[in-house]
Amino acid sequence: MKKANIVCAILGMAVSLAAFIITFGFKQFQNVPIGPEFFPRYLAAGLFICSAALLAQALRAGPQADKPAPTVCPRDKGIQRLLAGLGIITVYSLCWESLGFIIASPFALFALMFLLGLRRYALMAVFSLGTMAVIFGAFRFFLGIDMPLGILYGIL
Amino acid sequence: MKRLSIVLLCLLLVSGALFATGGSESTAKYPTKNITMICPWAAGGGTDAILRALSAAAEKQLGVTITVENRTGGAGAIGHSAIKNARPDGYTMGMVTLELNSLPQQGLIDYDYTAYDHVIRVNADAATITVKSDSPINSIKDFLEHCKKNPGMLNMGISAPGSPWHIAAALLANETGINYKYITFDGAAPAVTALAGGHIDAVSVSLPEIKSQLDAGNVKCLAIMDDKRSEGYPKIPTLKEEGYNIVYGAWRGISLPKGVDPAIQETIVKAFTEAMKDPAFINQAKNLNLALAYQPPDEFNRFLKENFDAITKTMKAIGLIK
Amino acid sequence: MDFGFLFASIAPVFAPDNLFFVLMGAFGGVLIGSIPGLTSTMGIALLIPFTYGLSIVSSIGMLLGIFCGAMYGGSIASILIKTPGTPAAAATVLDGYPMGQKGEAGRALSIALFASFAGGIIGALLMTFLSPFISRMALKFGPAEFFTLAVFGLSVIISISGKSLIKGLMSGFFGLLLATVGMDKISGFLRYSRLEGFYEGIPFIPALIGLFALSEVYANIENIMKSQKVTAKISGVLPGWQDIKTIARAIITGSFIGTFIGAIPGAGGDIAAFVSYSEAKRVSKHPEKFGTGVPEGIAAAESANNACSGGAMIPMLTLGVPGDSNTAVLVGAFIMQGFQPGPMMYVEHMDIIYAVFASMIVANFAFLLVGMCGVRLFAKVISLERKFLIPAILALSLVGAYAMNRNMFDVYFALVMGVAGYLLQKYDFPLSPILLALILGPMSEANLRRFMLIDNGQFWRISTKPICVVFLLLAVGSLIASVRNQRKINKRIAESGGEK
Repeated sequence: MKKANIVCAILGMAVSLAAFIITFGFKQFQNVPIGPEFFPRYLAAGLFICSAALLAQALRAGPQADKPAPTVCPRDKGIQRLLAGLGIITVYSLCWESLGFIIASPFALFALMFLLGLRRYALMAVFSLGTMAVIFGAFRFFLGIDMPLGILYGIL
Repeated sequence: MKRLSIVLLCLLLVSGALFATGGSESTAKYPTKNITMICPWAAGGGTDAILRALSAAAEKQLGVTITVENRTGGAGAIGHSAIKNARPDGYTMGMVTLELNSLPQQGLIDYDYTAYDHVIRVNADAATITVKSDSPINSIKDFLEHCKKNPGMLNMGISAPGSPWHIAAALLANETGINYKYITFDGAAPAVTALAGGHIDAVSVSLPEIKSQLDAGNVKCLAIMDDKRSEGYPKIPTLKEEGYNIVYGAWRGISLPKGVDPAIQETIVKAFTEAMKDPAFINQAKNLNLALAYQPPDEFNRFLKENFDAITKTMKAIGLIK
Repeated sequence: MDFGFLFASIAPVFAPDNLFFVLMGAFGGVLIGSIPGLTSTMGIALLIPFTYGLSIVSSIGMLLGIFCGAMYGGSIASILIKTPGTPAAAATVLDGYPMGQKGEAGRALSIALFASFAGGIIGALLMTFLSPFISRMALKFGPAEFFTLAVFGLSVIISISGKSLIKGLMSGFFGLLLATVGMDKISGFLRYSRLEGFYEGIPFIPALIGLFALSEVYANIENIMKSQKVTAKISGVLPGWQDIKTIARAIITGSFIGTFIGAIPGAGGDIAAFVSYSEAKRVSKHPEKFGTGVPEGIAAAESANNACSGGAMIPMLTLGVPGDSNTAVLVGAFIMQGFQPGPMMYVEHMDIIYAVFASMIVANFAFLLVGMCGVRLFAKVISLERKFLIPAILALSLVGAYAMNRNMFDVYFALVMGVAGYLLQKYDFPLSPILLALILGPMSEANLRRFMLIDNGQFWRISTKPICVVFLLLAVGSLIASVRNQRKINKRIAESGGEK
């Protein structure tokens, strides 16, 4: 966890520094006691100080009480699955407007269940179609909200 | 793997079956299917309320269902873009609001009112100048005098920067050569509350928004920026009567994306013109305290241009834009 | 008081058809509240058109049913899937979810239900009897007062920070910084990003869904092979006597905090729940157990956010000033029916005021009934096969992110926030401070700048305002108390032999 904390602290410092520097490009307003740059600057400073404190704490911490940090290494099986899952989810959400919620959802849900290790295909198909239908129907008929229809626009 | 491919095929077929059920439609007969009405502001708000009431009245004329869809966010930009980008088949339209004439100048949207086929103007609510009821300022003359004596000291509550009420206040300041501090609130209601609590000195929002505090006697309205006095509050003078030719308010209208078949447009204009006369709609508008201000397409287009130019001028004058 | 008139006014509330509408409202409200992304405000707003045809009493009764039901419903998702169903239920996650994971989802749900009901009733009673007194306070809140209230709210970040104080503070600052992205509410300047989706600041509901729901979905995809099935044993639909005794104090304090904060225009159940949670932790004899699934934690949060409903009604009815976003939409419903909430309503339509009071009480009983029927069913969700549950939660979360604005940008933003939330949580950064910061950041900044403009940059004048002084003192007190508490917690954990 020590190494992870050091990385987090440095990332925090980088984010806060960037946020701080960008504020100097903000538009200056006349006749206002504090402008739009006031808050972000102090907040960035606060984040920087806390990150520095975390860095100091991590560097001081001895190796004894160190428990292993969770991994984000792409060689890890779980992370590989997560990346694949993120891929499915991203493609799915990008398809909402073109294909439409009704068509994209069953495939995405089916693919996710497959990724999670399910192999009962018939059940998976029924479940993914059913979930889509319940969500779409509930939103449309009870709340009056249509999900994006995509290519089904004008038909439904 | 074979079973998997069979199931996937089935999924495809089911989705495809849903897809195939729709028929082709012709433009000769309109409307043949339901209409989507885009509202750029949230459900439960003023625009949403009036639009739903008007849609209900228009349904009776068109004989199809009109579904109001709230596409919100981006200070109105998202909904206005959605109307503009909709398929120009006459089955998607929406309510445009004053923001359409104040967002382009600030570079917040890259199109303006010319990107639509406008149908009708629905209402126009004049801005007011309102102060707290125990304020020593009792008339618009007092108000201007007070501002001249204390330049830049009066706290004027407005909704968001560049919003209708910001421009209303700026218009008055610009025409009369006064200035004040603009205190921005998240919408008109919090500004009115702050005025009733005595935290600011004045607000420039419209009559419907001050109604409850006005009736309660917490605030008093000095003047209204309209052509004529309000029916509900005939005691409030107009700025015109006081010698300042300022007419300004927040308006709403119905518009189509550009390029809709003229014959279809005509049907829509007729339906909404009739809908504006519907007694149930007029009653709802009365409940909402809205000033109905119908304009047919040609007048509405002319109005939009004048309004756009006036707003641009005011924005330049207060340095909101270059 | 004219009792004849009183009874004549509230009689229509108890008419069978009206009770049916309130019950339907409560049922819908519980469902809406339990779906992440669908808030009580949205539920009311979306269902208002359905009430146009009803009488004023039935219409308001149904909407109040949704309002109160959704406030409770939020806790269900908090407990079962670690995602607050509504922002107000964010504090319920802290102890509700751990209790569910210990196999006591039924107990957690019943405590949440009981606390919600008790809080709601206390709030409604306070509303009925103290309205004229509390309402005077509402108009006293100006920019300076709101700023100090937000500062006080932020002071509870430490008590919800979890194991590491520094990481909690980092989360808090990160959230506050994130809240400055997009259009500046005071000047209109676009900070850090020119994207259209940020014109109104960070979209809050998508951020909430990303941070809580999607981050959980991602973590579950990664760890699906390791995850164990959680069982839910259910002893009863209401908490046992022992539990009620434990949580009574938290409920009473929480209800008062909730009513009070609810009555302040612009401050709602989310803030109330966090403040109440922090208070319960402060007075507890075992603060180190907070966050591991203690009944008081759930009860404090749930009683406060439900009491908030009653509180928020106070300024709406007496002044026409909505106490929170829900009541802002309710004002619209009254207006559509031809009534303008505000002082004149007390003069002209006292019968409606009485009916609203009675409906509020009935609405609380209605969701209690719905909850009691539902607890067994809800609890089953937790023992569902994760491989089915996760994809369904994903679809529902994305729909929830989309539904508020019907804008795809919000969905993409939620996905990105999900990745951020997943990574942050993986490395022990608590998420609740980010959420609290997203709520309070804009409130503190905008109001400080308003105040500085009005008072010409003289910050010291804040010390001349009594309410501000009280809130600043409370903030300092809360900071000192929670730092002390944190020390005690660390010591106890060290004594009990290392980390869990």
